[in-house]
Amino acid sequence: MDFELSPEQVAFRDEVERFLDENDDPEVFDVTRENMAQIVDTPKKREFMRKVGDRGWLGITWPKEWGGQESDGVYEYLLNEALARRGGPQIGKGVGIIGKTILAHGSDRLKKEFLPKILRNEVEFAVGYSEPDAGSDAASMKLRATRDGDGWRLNGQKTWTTSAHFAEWYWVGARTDPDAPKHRGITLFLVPLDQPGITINGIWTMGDERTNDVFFDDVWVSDDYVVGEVNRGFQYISEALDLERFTMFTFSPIEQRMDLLREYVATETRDGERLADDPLVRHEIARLATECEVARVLGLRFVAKSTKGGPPPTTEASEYKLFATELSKRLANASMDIGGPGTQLRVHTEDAPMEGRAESTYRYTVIDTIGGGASEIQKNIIARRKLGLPKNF
Amino acid sequence: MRFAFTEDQLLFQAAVREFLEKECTPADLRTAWTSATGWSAGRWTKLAALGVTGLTVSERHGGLGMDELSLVPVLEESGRAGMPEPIVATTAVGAPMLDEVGPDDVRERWLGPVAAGRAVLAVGLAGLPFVDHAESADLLLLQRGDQVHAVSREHVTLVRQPALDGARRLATVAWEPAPGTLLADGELAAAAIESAFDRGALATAAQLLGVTQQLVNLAVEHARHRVQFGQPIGAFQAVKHMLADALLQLELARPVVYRAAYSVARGVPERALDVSMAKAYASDAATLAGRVALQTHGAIGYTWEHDLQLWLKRGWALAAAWGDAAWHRARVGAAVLPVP
Repeated sequence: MDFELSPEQVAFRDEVERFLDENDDPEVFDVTRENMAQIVDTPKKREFMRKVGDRGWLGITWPKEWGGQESDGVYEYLLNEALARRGGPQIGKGVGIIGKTILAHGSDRLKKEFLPKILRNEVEFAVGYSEPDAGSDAASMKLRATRDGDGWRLNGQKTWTTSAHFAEWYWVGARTDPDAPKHRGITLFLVPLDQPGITINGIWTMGDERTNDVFFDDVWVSDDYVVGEVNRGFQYISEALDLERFTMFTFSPIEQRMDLLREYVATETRDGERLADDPLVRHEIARLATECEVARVLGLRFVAKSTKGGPPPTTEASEYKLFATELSKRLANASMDIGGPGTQLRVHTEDAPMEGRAESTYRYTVIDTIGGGASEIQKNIIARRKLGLPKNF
Repeated sequence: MRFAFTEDQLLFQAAVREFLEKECTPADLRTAWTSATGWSAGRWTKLAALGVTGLTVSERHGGLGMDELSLVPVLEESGRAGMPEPIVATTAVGAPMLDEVGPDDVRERWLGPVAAGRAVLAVGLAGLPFVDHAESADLLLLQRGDQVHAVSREHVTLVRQPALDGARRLATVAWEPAPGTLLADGELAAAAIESAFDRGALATAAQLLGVTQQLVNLAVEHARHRVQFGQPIGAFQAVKHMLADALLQLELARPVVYRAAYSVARGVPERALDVSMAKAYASDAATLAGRVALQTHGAIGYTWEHDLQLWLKRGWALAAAWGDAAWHRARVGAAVLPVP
C-alpha cells in the first residue's frame, strides 16, 4: 500500500502541467463553466484537443495495434484531473465511451474508420440514450429502427443530447426488436448528425448551457454503422456507463471549490469576528474537507482497480459517482450558506464572494445527481450488484 | 502509487479471519460478557501463536516487526468478529509506545512477553478519561504532563466503569509517580504520547470498519430472507437504499483509514490530520450502519437474544473511544483552518 506517485508518474504530471502552461487560453480553459467545461464545443477547444492527441495522450490505455500506448489508466486519470483543474476540455466520450466500445465490440470497418480519427481528435460525438419516456429507465427507449434494404430506418425522438448541435456523429440506441424483453431489443448505431431527417432543437438549462432534443424522421442508417451485434446495444451501453460515471465527475474541481471556500472562510470577517472562529463554520469546513479527502482516495482506488483499460468496476463506479456528485452539492450548499447574501450575485460580478463561484457551482451541480444515472439509480445498482438484494422492478 | 495490500498482508488477514470464525463466535462473545476479565486468555495465547499479539513488536524481541499497514487488516478482522482481546491497547498502542520510549531494560523485560501473549499492556493518556483493559494489564503506560510512566497493575487504584458493551472493561486509574516508574519525559515523551494517541485512534477506526462490515452483513442477510407483503424486504427501495447508504459509508471510510495507516507507518507530517479524518469518518460510518441495521431488523433486533446487539454496542463504544467524530472533526478544523 502506497499513496505516492511513482517518479514516472510525477514526471508525466509535470510534463502535462508544462504543456497546459504553454497552451493557456481563457477561451479554452474556463473553470466557471464548472462540469460543462469538459465538452469540446468550440473550434479553439478542438484545436487544443488535437494538440493533446498529437502528444499521444488520447490513446493512453488503448492497444498499440490501434495507435494507443497500452499504458496504465493512472496516466489518463492524471491527465484528466489536470485538465479538469483548469476548467479545460477533457478526454471524454470519444476515447472513453465510443472508442472503448468500438475496440471491444465494433467491426473492423468501424475500427478503421473511427479509431484513428478519435486519436487525432478529428471527430466529435453526441450520445443519445435518453428519451422523453426513458430517463432513469433507459432500457425502455422507443426510438424505432426498422429493417430497410441493407440497413435500418430510424423514427422517434431523443432528448438531453448535450453535444448534438456541434458534433458530427451521433452514438444512438434504438429499438430493433419490440417483441424481445426491453434490455434485449436495443441496438447501437452511429449516425451522421447532418443526415437528412434529423432535426435538432436546443433546450437551455439553469447552468446557461445548451442541451438538445433530437428528432428522427425516416433517417436511414447502413448496416455498416451498426455497433457490435444487433439487439446487444443495451449491454454495451451499460458497460460504457460505468466508465462515464467515473471520467465525467473528476475530483480536481471539487478540490478547487473546497480550496476556494476554505480560503474565503480563512480570510473573511463578519461583524468583526473571523469567520474561521465561528464553531459552526469550522465544523462544516472540517466535515467537507474530510469528505473531499474521502472522494480523492476513493477515486484513486477506482483508478487502481481499472488500470490497463480493463473493464471498469461497476459498483465502484456507482459508489464514486453517487458520493462525488452528492458531495459537490453539499459543497455548493455550504458555499451559499457561508458566503451570505453576496452569493446571489452572478459569477464574474466584482462584489460577489468567492469570485461568484458559489452561485455558478450551485446552479451547475444540481444536475450532477440526476444525469449519468440518478443517485437513486446508483443506490439500486449498489444494492443489487454488491449486496445481492433482489430486483424491485 | 500502489493502492492495494500485499499478498502477504492479505494472507495474514485471511488466516486471522479463519481463526476468529472458529474461535470467536457470537456464543464466545456472550461468554466474554459474563466472564471476569471480559476476554479470553486462551484465545489471546492462540493469537500470539499466529503472530498477532506481537505483530508490532520487533523481531529482536520475538515479534513480527510489522507496521500499521499490516496491522490494520488484522484489526478489521478483530472488529468484524467482535473480538474482545486487548489488541488495541497492547499490540497497536502499548508495544510501539514502549519501544519508542524505552529504555532497553524495560523493552527487554516486556516486549518478549507481549509477543508471546504472556503480558498485557494498557495505556492511559491525559484527556482520555477511561482506560480499557486496565484491570487485566500487567503494565500500564501512563501519561503525567510531559512524562510517560510505566506502572504495574498492583500500584494503581482502579475504579471500574461498567460500559454498554459488556466485553469492554473500562476503568478510571488513580496512581502516583514513584521512583523507577518514569520512562521518558520532554520531547521524547511528548512525541511518544502524540503518536500513541494517533495509533489508538487509527486502530479503533480500523476495528470500526470491521464492526460496520458485520452490521451491514447482518442487515443484508436479514433483508434477503425476511418476507413481508409477499416478498423479501430487501426488494423494497426504502430498505435497499438505506442499506446501500450504509455500505457506501463503509466503502468510503476504508480507503481513508488505509491512508491514515500509511501516514502513521511512514510518519508523514499530516499524520494527525489523516488519522482524525479516518476516525471521524469510520465512527460516523459505524453509527449509520448500526442505525440502519437495527431499523432493517425491526423489533427482533432490539432483543437481548439477537446477536445484532453485540456489534451495535461495540460500534457505539468504539465510536466514542479515542476521540469521537466531533472531537476529530474539531482537530481537522484546526488543521485546515489554522489560527493565524
